Amino acid sequence: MSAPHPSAPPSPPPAPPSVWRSPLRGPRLTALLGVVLLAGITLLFVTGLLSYAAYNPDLGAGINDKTPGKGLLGIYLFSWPTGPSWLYRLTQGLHVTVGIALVPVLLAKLWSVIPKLFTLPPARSAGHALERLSLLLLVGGALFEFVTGILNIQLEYLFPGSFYPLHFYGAWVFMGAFAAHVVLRMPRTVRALRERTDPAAADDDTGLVPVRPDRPTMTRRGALGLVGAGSLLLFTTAAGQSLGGWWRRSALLAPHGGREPGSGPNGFQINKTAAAVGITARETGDAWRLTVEGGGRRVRIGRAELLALPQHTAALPIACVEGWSTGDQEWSGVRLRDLAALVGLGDRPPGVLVESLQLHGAFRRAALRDNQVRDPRSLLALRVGGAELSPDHGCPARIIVPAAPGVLQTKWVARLTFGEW
Amino acid sequence: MRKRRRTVRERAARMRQADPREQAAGGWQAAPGERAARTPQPAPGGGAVPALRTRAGRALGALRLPRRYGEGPLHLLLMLASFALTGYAGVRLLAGGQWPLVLVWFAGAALLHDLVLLPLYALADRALVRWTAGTGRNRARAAYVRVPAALSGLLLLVWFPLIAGAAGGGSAAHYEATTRLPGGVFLTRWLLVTAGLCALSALWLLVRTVQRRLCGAPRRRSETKQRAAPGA
Repeated sequence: MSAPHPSAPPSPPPAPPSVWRSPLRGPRLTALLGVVLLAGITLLFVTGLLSYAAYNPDLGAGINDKTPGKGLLGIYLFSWPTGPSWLYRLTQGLHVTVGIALVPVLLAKLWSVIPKLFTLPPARSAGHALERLSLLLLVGGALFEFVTGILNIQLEYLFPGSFYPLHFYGAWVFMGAFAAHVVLRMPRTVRALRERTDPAAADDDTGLVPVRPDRPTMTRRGALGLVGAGSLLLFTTAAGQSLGGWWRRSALLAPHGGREPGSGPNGFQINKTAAAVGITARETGDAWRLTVEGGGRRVRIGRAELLALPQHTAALPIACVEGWSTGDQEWSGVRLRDLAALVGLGDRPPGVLVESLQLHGAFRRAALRDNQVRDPRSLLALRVGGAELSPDHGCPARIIVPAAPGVLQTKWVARLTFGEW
Repeated sequence: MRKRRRTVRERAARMRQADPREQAAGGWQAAPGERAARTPQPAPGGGAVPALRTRAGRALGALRLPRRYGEGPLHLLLMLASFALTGYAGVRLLAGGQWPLVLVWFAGAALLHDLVLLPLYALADRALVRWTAGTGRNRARAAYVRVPAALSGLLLLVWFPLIAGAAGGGSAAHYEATTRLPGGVFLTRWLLVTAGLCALSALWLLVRTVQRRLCGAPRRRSETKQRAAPGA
C-alpha cells in the first residue's frame, strides 16, 4: 500500500495527523524506552516502599506516621532492621539518584508516544475510553511523582500539602495505572523488541509510525545515545551526594554536593541548622537537662552526669530521605539501652519516644522501635569525631541509630520516654 | 500469555471491523444466534487454533459484554482492578483540605508537559534543523547544537529551583539557612557545565570537519557519494 496521493479519492480513515513527522517514532523506540522505565520505575517503587517502612509508621500511636489513613497500602510494613548500617544510605540513595537519572528516559518515552494523545476519534469504544483515562493517571501520576520528588530534594516545598502523603499516595495511584499499562503493552513490546524493525506506516498497529516521515537528522541509536548521555550526566552530577567523601565534589548540581559545609569533625552535611529551627544557645547551655521516663519512673540528668555514664563509640552514617548521605562518622555517647536502664528497663528495653527542643517541624517527636533501642550501636551521642557536637549537629545530645533514616536521628534531644507513650 | 492476549486483541479488532457491515445490514443489534454462530469461527488461515482461543471466545459470548466495550473481558478485568487500586489511593491523595490543588497538580503536570513543554522543545528543534539546512550545511549537523542544548536544558529542568534560586529570590536564602551551604553556586556551575558541553561539541565538530577535509579531499569530485554518505 502506498501513501495516499493528493489527487486520489479520499480513503475511508480520517486524515492521518501529519504534525508528528519524526522518523524515529515507532514501536521499537517506544519499546526500548519502555523496558528501561519498567526496570527503573520498579526499582523506584521498591526503594520507595522500603523508605516508607524505614520510618516505622506503624509504630506506637503513629508518631512517625504522616499517612495515618493508609489502610491496606501499609499492609506490607515490617520492623526496619538496624543492619547493615548503610542500608538506608543504599536504598534511599538509589531511590533519589536513579529517579533523577530516569528523567530523560521518561521525557523521551512521553515524546515517543505523543501522537497517541491526539488520535481521533478520542475513544473508539468504552474499553478504549477506560484505557485512555488510565493513561491520564499514568502520565499525570508519573510526572506528579517526579516533580514532587525533585522539588522536595531541593527544599522547594511548593506542592499543595505535606510531601509524605502526596508522594506516597501519588505513587500508589501511579502504580495502579502503571501495572495495567505494563500488562496491556507487554505483548506488543516484546514483539517490537524481537522484530528489530518498525513496520511500515500502513501496517502499523500502534499508531506510532509517522505516515509522512521527515528526513532523518539522527539515527534511533543516536537518539537513544542522547537519552543515555542525559541520564549519565544527571547521574554523575548527583550521585556524589550519596557516595560522600571525594565523590561529593563531582555532584555539581545536587543540593548536598560540591563541598562540605564546614571543616573539622563537625564539618559534614547538615539537614537543618539550629538557627533554621529556632534552637538557641540558652536552651542547649548549662540549663539543659535530659528527662528520661518509663516504667513509672522519671530521671532528669545534665550533661556532666551523662558524660559520667559508660561512653561508647559507633561509626555510623547519616542518610537523609532526600537521598544525600554522609560517610561513617565516629559518634560517641551513651547507649540507648543504658539510658533505659536508668528507669529500670535495662533488661529488655522497649521502644522509645524521642522529643527534641525543637518547637516545630514534622519530626520534632520521633519513635524508635525496640530493636533499634537494643542495638549496641544506638547511642545518645554527645560527641562526634572526638569533638563535642556542634549546635547544627544537635548539641548537646542527639540520637544515632544504625540504618535509620535521618529524620529519626533526632537532634537537640530533651526527653526520652521508654515503653508506653 | 502473549498468544492469548493477541487472540483477544485480534478478536476485538475483527469485531470492530465487522461493525460497519452489520450496520449496513440492519443496525447495531445483531441477533444473538448470529453472534453466537460467528464467535467460534477461526480466523482465515489460522489452521491450528489453540483450544484456549475458542474457550476465550465462548467466555466472551457467555459474559455478553456489550459490543461497544470493544475489548476482551480480560481487558475489562484489568481496567477494573487498576481503577480499584488507583481509586483506593486516589481518595487518600485527595483527602487533605487542598484536594482541588492536588487535582490541578496531577492533571496539570500532564497537560503542561504534553501541551507546553513538549511542543516547545519540538518546535525549537525543528527551527534548529531548518536553520542548519538554511545555512546550506547538512541537516545532520544540527546534532552538534542539539546535543549540548538538550543536555544543558535537561540539567536546567531538573535543578531549576536551585539554579533559579541562585539567580535571585528567597529560595537561595532558605537553602543557605537550612544547610549552611552556599546557595549562589548553582547558576555558575550550570553555566560552566553548559559551556563545557558546547565546547566539547564544537571541538568534536572541528575534528570531524578536519578529518573529512583530510580524508575526503581526493574524493571531492564525486558529488553524489558525498551527498549520500551523511544524513543517516
